[in-house]
Amino acid sequence: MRYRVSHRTTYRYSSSVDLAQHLAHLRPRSLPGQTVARCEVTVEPAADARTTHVDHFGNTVDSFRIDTAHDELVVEMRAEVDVALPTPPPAEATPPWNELRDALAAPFPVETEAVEFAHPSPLVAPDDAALAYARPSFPEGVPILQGARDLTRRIRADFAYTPGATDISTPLAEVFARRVGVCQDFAHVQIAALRALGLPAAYVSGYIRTYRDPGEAALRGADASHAWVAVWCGDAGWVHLDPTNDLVAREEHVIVAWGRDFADVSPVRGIILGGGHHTYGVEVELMPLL
Amino acid sequence: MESLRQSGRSSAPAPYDELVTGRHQIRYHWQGLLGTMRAMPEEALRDRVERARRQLAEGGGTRAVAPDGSATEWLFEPLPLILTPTEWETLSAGLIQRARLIDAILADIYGPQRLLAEHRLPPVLLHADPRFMRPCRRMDGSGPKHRLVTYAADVVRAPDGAWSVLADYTGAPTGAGYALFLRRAMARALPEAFRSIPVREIAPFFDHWQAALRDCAPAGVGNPRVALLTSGAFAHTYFEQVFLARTLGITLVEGGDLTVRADGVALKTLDGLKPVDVLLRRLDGAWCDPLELRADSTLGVSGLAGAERTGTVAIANALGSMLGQSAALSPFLPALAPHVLGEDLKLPALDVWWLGEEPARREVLARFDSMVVRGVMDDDREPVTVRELPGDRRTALMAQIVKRPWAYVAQRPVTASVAPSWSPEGLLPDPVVVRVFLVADGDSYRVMPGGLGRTAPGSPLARLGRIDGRLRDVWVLAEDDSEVVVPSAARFLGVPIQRGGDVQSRVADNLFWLGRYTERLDNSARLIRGALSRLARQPLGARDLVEVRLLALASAEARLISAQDAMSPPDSVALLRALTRFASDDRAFGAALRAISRLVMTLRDRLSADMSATLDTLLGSMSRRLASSTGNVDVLLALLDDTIRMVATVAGLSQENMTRGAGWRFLDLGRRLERAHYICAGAHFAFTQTPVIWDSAMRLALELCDSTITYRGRYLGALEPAPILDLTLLDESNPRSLAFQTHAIDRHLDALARSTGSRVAFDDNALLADMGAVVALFQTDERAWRHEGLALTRLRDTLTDTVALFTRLSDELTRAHFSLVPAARRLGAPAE
Repeated sequence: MRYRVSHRTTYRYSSSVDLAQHLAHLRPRSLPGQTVARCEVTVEPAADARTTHVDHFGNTVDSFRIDTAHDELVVEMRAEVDVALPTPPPAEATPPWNELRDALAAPFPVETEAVEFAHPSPLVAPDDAALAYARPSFPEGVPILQGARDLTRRIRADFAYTPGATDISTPLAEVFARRVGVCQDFAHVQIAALRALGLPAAYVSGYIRTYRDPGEAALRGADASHAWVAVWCGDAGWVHLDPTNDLVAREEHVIVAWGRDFADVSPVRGIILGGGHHTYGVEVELMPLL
Repeated sequence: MESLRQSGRSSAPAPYDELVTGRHQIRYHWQGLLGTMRAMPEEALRDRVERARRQLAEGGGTRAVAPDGSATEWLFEPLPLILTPTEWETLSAGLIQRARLIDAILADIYGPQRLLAEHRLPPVLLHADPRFMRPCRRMDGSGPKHRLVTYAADVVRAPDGAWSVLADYTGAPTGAGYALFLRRAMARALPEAFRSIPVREIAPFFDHWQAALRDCAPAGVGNPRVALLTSGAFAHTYFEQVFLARTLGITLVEGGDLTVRADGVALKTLDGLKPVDVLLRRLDGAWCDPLELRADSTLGVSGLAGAERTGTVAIANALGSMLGQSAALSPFLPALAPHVLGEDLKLPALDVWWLGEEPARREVLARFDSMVVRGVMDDDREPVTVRELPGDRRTALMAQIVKRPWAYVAQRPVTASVAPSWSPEGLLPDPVVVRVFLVADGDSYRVMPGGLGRTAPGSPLARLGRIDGRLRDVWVLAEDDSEVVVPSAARFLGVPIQRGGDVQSRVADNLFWLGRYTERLDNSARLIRGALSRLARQPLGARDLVEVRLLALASAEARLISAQDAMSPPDSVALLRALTRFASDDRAFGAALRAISRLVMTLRDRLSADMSATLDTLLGSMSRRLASSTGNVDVLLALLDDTIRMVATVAGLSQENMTRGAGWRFLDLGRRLERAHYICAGAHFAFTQTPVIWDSAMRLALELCDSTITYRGRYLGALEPAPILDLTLLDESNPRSLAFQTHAIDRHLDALARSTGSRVAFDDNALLADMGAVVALFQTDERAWRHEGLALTRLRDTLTDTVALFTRLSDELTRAHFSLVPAARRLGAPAE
């Protein structure tokens, strides 16, 4: 499936910003099952210095600095992406989760890249609550993907999708306690549960295709950026699971970046001098191109 | 000694004795020193030791304040540790190799990570360690020549005489400054020893260090500008950072002094932005950049990690290099050395086991009680001697290890060698850990031929990295006399540093306020002294009562006592008590004292040693005496006299010892502005009261402007307003007159305008012309001042206007010259 995607972030400031430095994780990744045909990131007002680099996780980061006073900042990414993620193996065919855990706990695991996703990260440090929540999905010997899918289903059933109930600074413990949140919180919940068991789980940011009633026009900005998790399944590699929708990502998710949690891949963040109050708007559009 | 006897009773081997051989003979290389000491009369030696210790303590160098506010103090041990050329050669070759190895490992970890892919380094050592800074990883093969530019190691000598490494310091190693500081103290305490014993010089190491920093500069920078990025005035080792910046001849900067711009990192100075090419970093890496690293850091520079990545600035050591000091690395070094360097590891590692490996873990848990356990994923974990743990904590530790085995290393208790320590009763053996310092030199490293010997208060493993206990110089003997230069103690007494136009805006701001607050102490002391000295003269005459009341009101105006207390009867206990409490925290005097101690701390690198010492004494003796005064008026009066003299000493030192750069100008501007304000609002306060008590108003103006003697000399006692006001307001030759202050302010503003290009509006001639016209009124018409006449009204108005003018001027200076940048804010990042 080919998509045209755009992601526009607008900051408006009540007084002008004298100096701004930003980092953006906005460019969809190229990887097996996803090809980026075209991608550009524009910044308005024009940046005084701009670089891109590939970070530790392999994401492409745009960093830019604006030295001139401005009261509005617009960062826009436009891309065309082909997506056909490989179908994961049958859940029953994946290795038992406890074998995977033990293999990764060895000092020199065969797969070194998965290790860091099993450890606590700034926003997701698994606690006893996360472990207690994870347990029912993972009796000893259950295949990893089977357990992870069950966990995805339970999060979808147990947590209420409530935009506005949380924000980026809401601690995970509170999300666990109140059982509300948005996609980012649910991804963190699932990551915490998997890590509590010693299993690697990554935070994935990106976009998801939304279906509307036939005849209804796709509205610009009706969509938002999305987040889900990637679960390490041994030889089957990373399988992308979406706890917000209880889905396995195949053709309807566009992958932008991954890291240990939101803090590693936040779409646009920065440090500003001045600016007074600010308002913030995001418009995302994901258009299938057949 | 106690610990030595204990270890003697247990099964641990006896420590190696640095001084005495197994056959109870003094080792050959100590005989020169002992001979020198024996040749001196006992008292002479004791006097020198005591003098050296006192000098070090008074210089503030022996005290280190921890972030939690607790202070540790170290003691200067006058006996050095002496090492022979041969053993030094072996030790330094081993450390050079170790530095090269750790540097190469860091380059791999922050680059291709081949050591992980090849299963030579457990990935968990990076991935679970907060010191692994992901934003510093380069995926494109780029990277600095050395991530490890400076390196230090704590080494101990085992009972068998071999050296091994106890701890590595790869982030921002501390202690090299203290080593030089101690060497200079030694050179003063025992100069004859340096003449007879071939001790290798350590000062050239700092020249190499300078060169190493210049070598780091981005390609194409001809004459790089280097700065020391401090962790701030409240850092544990701030004293050392100041000393080091001076020794290396580089500017000491805080994160707030720097800004990242399109073309690199720049220093905010009064003359605008100046590029900085190399940073010697003493701030922990994680705090260096709120944009990419710890978002809650206010000590760093936003965008610094990006500037390092793009190569517009070089940071020594590179951000993230602290990971190299993880104790969990050391068990892997023997296997990594042949692979990475093609050499066998020269310096044997202590037996350290990383518990992430099953066999090691089983082994260690089986002999748990003979082990010392250290957490390795968090630098602040103290090593734990299992044998000393109470039962429940032992069980808890074991459970932790089973749960997170990779987060721990274990080793046997360390028996460090003992070296003689001086005491009035004779020499005592003390265990010593030696810190050795290295700096990059081309493709390799250079070792300081010396170091810092530390006798920790507890076990050698306890409180690693701290600067405390007894510290001693380390002497490395030269092969022959040719490489020996007698160290010069002369470099120590630093001349005050002033770097012309290079004054950071923050420093200028701080100097301005230091000027204001020290002058405020003087002015406050004069007001309070005036009141208290009258009250001390019992019984109070009618004139005293009037003047005490006026002084009380002026003191209330200056926020030295409350307005309510000032209205109490002049002979009341309430007023007396209020006046004796002038220094309490909620009063202007106490606030000024607190502000000065904060400013002195942050300005230590900008003030001369004498000036800091005088200010330290002022603050120290003040708080001591205030605490013990318990409201005794005589004690307080003596203290106020001393305050005035001490402020004069500080002012004199700044006049005599500071170059006339922008920094000095701001210090003096602050002082002049504060004094001008005081002359108008404090010294002439009595003229603003209705009705005016002329006699008292005139006498107080002279007294508070310290002009009584001058007036008496000129006018032989006849008190009249015009000559008095002329002397206190208009006479340019009187340093306590308003005119003197305004002329000085005007000259400073002119000079600053020449160097910074912006002139703050201030017209001293117009101000003085107004004042002159008012004073003239008093001269021409006797009636003008006998009653509430025109002259008095004009005087009051002009004084009020002038006070307002100075308040405005202070605000405008702040706006024009100081870094009035609004606080940086974060967008789109979660709070941690």
